[in-house]
Amino acid sequence: MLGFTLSRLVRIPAIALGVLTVIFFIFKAVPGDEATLMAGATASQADIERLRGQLGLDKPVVEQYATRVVGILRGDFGYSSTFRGNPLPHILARVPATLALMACAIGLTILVGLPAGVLAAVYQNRWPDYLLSFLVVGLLAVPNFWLGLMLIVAFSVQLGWLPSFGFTGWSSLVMPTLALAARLIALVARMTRGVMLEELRKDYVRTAYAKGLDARLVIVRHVLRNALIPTVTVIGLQMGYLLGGSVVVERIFAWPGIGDLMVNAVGARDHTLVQAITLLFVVGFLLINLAVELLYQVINPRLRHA
Amino acid sequence: MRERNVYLWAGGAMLALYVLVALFGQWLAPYGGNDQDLLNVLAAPSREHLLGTDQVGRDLFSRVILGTRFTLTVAVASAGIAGLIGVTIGLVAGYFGGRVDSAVTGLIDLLLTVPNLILAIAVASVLGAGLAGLIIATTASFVPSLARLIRGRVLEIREEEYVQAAIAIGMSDARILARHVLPNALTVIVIETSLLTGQAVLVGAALGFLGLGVQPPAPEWGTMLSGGREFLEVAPHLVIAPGIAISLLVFACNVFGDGLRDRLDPNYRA
Amino acid sequence: MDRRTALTLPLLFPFARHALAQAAPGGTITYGQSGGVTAIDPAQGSFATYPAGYEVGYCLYDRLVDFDQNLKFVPQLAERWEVASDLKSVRFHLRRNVRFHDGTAFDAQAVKFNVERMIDKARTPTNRPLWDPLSAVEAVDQYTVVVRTKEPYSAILNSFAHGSGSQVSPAAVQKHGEKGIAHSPVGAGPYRLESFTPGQEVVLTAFDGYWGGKPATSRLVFKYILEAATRVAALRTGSVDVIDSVPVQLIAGLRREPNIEVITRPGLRPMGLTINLSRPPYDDVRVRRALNHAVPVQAIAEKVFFGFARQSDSPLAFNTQGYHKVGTYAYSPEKAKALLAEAGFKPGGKTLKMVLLASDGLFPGDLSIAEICARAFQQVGIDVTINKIERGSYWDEIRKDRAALTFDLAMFGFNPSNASGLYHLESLFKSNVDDAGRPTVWNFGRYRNPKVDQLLAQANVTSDAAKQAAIMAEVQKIVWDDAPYVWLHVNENATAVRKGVKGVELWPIVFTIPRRATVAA
Repeated sequence: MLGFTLSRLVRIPAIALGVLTVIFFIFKAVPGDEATLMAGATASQADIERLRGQLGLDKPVVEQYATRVVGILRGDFGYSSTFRGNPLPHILARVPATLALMACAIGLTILVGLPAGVLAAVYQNRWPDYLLSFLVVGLLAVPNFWLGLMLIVAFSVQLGWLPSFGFTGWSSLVMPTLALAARLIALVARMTRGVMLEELRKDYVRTAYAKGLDARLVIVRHVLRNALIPTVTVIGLQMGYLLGGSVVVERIFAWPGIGDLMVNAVGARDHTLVQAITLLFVVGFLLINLAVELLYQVINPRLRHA
Repeated sequence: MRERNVYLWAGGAMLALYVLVALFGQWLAPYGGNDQDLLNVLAAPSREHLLGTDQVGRDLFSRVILGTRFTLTVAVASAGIAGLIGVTIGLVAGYFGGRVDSAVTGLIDLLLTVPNLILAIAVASVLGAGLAGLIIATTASFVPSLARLIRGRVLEIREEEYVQAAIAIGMSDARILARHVLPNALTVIVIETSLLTGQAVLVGAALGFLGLGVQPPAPEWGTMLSGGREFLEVAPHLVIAPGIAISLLVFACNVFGDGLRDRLDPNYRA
Repeated sequence: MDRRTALTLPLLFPFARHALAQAAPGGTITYGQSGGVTAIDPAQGSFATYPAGYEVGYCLYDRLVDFDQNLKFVPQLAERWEVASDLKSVRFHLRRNVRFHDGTAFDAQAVKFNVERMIDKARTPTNRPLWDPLSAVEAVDQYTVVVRTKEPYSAILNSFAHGSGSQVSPAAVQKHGEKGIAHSPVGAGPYRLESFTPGQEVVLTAFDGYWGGKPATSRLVFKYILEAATRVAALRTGSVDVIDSVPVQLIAGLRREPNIEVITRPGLRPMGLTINLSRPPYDDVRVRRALNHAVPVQAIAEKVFFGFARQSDSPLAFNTQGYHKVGTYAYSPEKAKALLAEAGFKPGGKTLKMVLLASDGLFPGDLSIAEICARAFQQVGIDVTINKIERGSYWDEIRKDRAALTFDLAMFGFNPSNASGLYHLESLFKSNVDDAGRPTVWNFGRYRNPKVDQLLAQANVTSDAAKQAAIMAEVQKIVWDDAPYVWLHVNENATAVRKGVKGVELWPIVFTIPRRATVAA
């Protein structure tokens, strides 16, 4: 397992480099003078030229690319006009907020999605099942930013129960987590229900019932364990959604994470910052994928590589 | 069987309704999309204004109707173009294999590591605001996964006996692609693209919400949600209607896509 | 420790700090600002971002001269002063026994250091109109300083009362460097720096050695809260005690709350649409006047801002020094159409096209105003395209070279933060040094009127207040009639505080100052 982990870890920088290359050249293709943009409105022509020289923007593109790559290896992500310098420490300072949000979203998904799916399967074709189907379809169609807004209207504006902004404590996590996790909960619940139904039809379950074993024990021991892998699969597949979704959700709730920073960067036309954050999202995504695969192996020893 | 058809018909009917509204919106809307009534700002729903008015006195109901055109255009255009590009790439890479395939797959895998919406945002930030940029950004975010799926199907088809036979007898690649590969990949293409449309609505609306969409005063739903945010306390009705419009459209797309999938290939597993 | 705990542990620290803050004797006042503070130095970075940085600066630094609530000059670090009758120099008599936060003494040498730093373009690239007129500074003795100007300059005291006149400890600049001082500011004001997270939070603590006596409130915390709804929510729950930029639609609701008090003051920033006079036919005054008649300015002030705005009747705001009421452009689409027809744009004939630049979130209600104006113009037969520019890139977009300009009209509002009407008129309406290049200050519409230039120069050297006022009145009339802008309104600024917090000042120049505020325990 260690070998597997290491080999995967090693690939991440290579992939990151690839993404960096593609994005770097896409952004360089944009018309407009970068030095003017970065220097800001109050800069004189002399200031712009000075900045251009300082940042090496007058050199050939390939050389700029090489400089950027070397810089990144040293932790310098270039010149961000928002922070007037290397944006990396500022970005990293915001990572915990986003991580907290995502962790809670995943946690909520498992806590709510799994039991919901189980219940729907156990009470198949009765009202809990129909309720779940209805909710699933609804939650999959609803845009998460709208859900967030509706939650704010209901719980903040009308009822005044929950804070609607920033990261101020546990209560401020509730609504953003709900908005972000809704789609995941729907998918996990649906998946769990499906897996449960398949398992419930299997022979060993009927045998267990016949033998008089406590039904619940049977369900918990065998069925849930089998449902775990597809659940992890679904969550893993939706990681992209989770990272992307965090951007809009953070925007709505003024959540001080990197998604919010990215939106500001786009608005301020701070291309360096946009590229840096995109790169970080990619690396994060790859690391999470790796974690998911390792989780697979823990759950299912048969998948372990020798 | 009947149950699956219900999805198809129900979803299809809703979609048809949206298309009709998009096409004939101007005649359905009671007011113009930009008719400002400054004496009647942020009014609650009433008989004159079914959904109330916004911060410059425009009728919300009319704006929601007129906004259908934008969202539908973006969604259909993106899904369609992504489909076309994805098919081309998938066909070429999957069928010809070799170095072309490796290069293309490498690039696709690379782009797949960027989460969907992030890629759309990055592209949108390069292109700037406007309808064209919005469509391109949304399309770009779907092309990698679609190309990958189709390539996978093409790889399967290529190993089928009849294709191998056609190669053996020396049929030209173009003919093989046109007569054997494409028709058999069609199911996957159609299903995936239609399932994609719902996603495209969400991504397009999200970009509009983030301010990366069309210029004001265009009545785009995502932009309207964003504009209504600062008035949540005094006029929550501003954010309810556009959101419902988006949700129902996505719902219709999903239902229709599911129905289509069940109809075309009940054993479909992507 | 499992992964969850490890991840959540760092999240507890901010809560702990908040709890500690509540326990400080003398109280803590937390101010939720609408802008983030990234630099606290009058020179480099110049109190970025505006106005948040200035608000912190006014608590941390002292200046030679201060404004009172009505923008009259009062002594601060200078006990008294004499302005020469030829307006070419001023002599300041400095307060004695004043220390900077780092313990070093405040004296004439320190003032000389600071003034030279301001005069030096390389070290202070911003606020040039305030410091360019100065030529030299002389330390006559330990507590007397003479400042000279190149030409007679009547607004010299305004420069020293402005935030950029803040006195920085020279020793600290030596220690932290020209650039470093922005993150480790050392002044002589009632509060000193405790901690600074650029773009997020500034914490100031009361300075024991302040010459005016230690302030009553022990700590001032400045937090950046971008979203207005968020700020209001924070005020409601009590996690902040003061907020600025209260959205007008929420004022009525806030006033109904027993724990909250809303303070409003007319601002100093007249809003308008700058007209790009370098693009025909906008160089035709009939077209410009037509535009002014086409917009329902009064309706905007009343309806979009719920009465918290007032229709302009001069290029200057109502309480700017030197304001003079000129008149109104009556709302009349018929008159607008008539004027346009005179200029050659009749219905059925040539259509006037317009690109209107609108910012998004930079000025209050900017998008709504843009949409209303666009519609108003459309109704008199103009073909309008709105170009929305994000707030972060807006300044860059309007201050380009003439050939690179992308608009016919652009939304704009100027805030003369030294309260001088002369400064305002010069910044916007004095001819640029070079119209083809970037605008000298904010005359990006390329307005050029030799008579106005002559009058402004005259006003600068006039020491008689009444005469100066008369000259400025004439300038305002000429500019108003020339209509290089579509004149709109002046917003009221609104700040809200929790009951029990007293002494928060809301200056017309948009700043909310908690410097002299106290909080009930």
